[in-house]
Amino acid sequence: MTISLTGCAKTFPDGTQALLPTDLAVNDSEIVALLGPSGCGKTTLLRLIAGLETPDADGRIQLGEDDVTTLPVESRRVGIVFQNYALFPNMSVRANIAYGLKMQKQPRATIIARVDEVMGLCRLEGLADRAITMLSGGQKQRVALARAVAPSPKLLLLDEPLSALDAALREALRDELAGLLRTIGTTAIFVTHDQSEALAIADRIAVMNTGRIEQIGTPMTLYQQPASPFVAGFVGHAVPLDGKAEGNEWVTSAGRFRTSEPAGDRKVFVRPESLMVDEAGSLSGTVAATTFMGTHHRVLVAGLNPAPIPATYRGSTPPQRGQPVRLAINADEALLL
Amino acid sequence: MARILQITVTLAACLFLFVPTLLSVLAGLTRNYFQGLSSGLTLRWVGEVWVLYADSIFLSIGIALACLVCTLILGVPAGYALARHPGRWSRVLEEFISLPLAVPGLALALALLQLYGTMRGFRISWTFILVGHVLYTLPFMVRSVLAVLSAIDLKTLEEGAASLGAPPWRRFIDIVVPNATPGILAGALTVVTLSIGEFNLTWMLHTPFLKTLPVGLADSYASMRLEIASAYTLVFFIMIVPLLVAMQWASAKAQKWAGTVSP
Repeated sequence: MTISLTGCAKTFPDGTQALLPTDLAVNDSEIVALLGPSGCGKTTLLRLIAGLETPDADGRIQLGEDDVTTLPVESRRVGIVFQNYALFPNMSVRANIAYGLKMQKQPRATIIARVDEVMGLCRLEGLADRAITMLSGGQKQRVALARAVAPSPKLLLLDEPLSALDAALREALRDELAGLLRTIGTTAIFVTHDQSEALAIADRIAVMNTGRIEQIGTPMTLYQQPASPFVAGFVGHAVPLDGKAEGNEWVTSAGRFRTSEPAGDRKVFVRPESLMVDEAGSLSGTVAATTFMGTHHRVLVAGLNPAPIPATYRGSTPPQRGQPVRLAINADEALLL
Repeated sequence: MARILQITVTLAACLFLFVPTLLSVLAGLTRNYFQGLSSGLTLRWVGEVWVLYADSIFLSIGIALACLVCTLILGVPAGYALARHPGRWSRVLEEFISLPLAVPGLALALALLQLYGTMRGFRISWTFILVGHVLYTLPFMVRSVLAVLSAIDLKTLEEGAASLGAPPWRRFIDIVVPNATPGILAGALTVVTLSIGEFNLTWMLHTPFLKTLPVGLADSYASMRLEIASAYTLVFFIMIVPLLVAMQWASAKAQKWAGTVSP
């Protein structure tokens, strides 16, 4: 099912403008992530699509061919996975998953068959009669997904689906969730503040900041061609490098390097993984700290910006704190924004 | 040594509470109070209480049950509404509902008499006493439901049910009521116990033909022989003690429930 939002804004009764007028189009079976820091309006946008909030006047929400702007959540046929799951504590796992089908007044046999099917899909076999309070975090997350999916919604919405889990479990379930969403095949929109989650799960990512979508695109597009300093910073942790343009070069207080084209009035942003510790490099600095990351060392280098900036060292003898180093950057990897 | 002291003090306190009650109950079972236990034990006085005051007992039970129905119908939705819209105005409203607790029963009764006293049919009907009891017990039901519902994330649970296609009334039946059950149960037992034991208000509102259990108790103390009055106390205990025990059990269960479902 396709979704399209036109001019959807949200102002709360206290005057807070949580979402500026926003357009968004999502294709059939597509998985889109709304990525941004807390307070950027991503959850508000999700709640507008769900029907848990109504947009300000002039906003329009279309689900397929139907205008659903004024339709309440119970009539929209959207499945929602809540951040804290919102499983009904007064019902068993099976009753939770069957609830949506029961509301659709499906025949008993159909409900039982569908619940079994969804439970198999979400690897919940054997937990049917378990009480909600007796489930682990990961199990709760899968029950919440199964419950949302069981009534075959037109659209699946997930609000920070992994944030209630501890770090180790989160990483394992991230790939599992990505696989499950593709197996289910429903159009899905999910909210997250974690860029690795968005990169791992989504077909396209909408990066949000201060109530608006800054850029929407595939994970690779966002990474390689960020449209704004915010996107560059949030996806891939790019930092601005102080200096000024001189033709095809960027001149800093600690050396100069080539850029892919004249920077003009734009600024140069670099990512830790493009800034390499290299004896042949054209920039110089002093090591402020070194952290071993498994595959490489992350080196904080002082002397270029007022604050130390992170760079990467791939080798076996990492530079020590206080040691002078030289840094190199590939002209293509210096972002001009 | 300290242990022995502790036990002694505890026992003394228990005796302090039990001895008068026990004496009163025994008085209701002795043949002749002034001759003491040596005159022998009898159930005669309990029988007399039944003959004289059975109507009061049934009236009290009837009013308590009617009061329970009224507080359920008014109190559960009210507690739900307060839990669903927390804020300054809800707090004010909650305090306002609780006002009858702070005002002496006698004052409340006077207010009711001033307002409805001239409506004769209503004034002499048992429903007049019922109105007083509902006013007095409603805050207990509302607060009990509110406490349990405030401990869970009701808003999100309801949004979850709504996203699965449940209209508002289904959400109330399927989500709100089952999750409020421990609170409703604790509230219900409190309401019934308070209604059966209520004296202040009822004494002002009753007519000679409508005496509830505690009003009958006062009447028997004032006008019957001591053995009958004591036997009446015994009857009262037999009715109220199981309710009190159940009330303790239900509120413990409600607390445990709130503990398990809140995140």
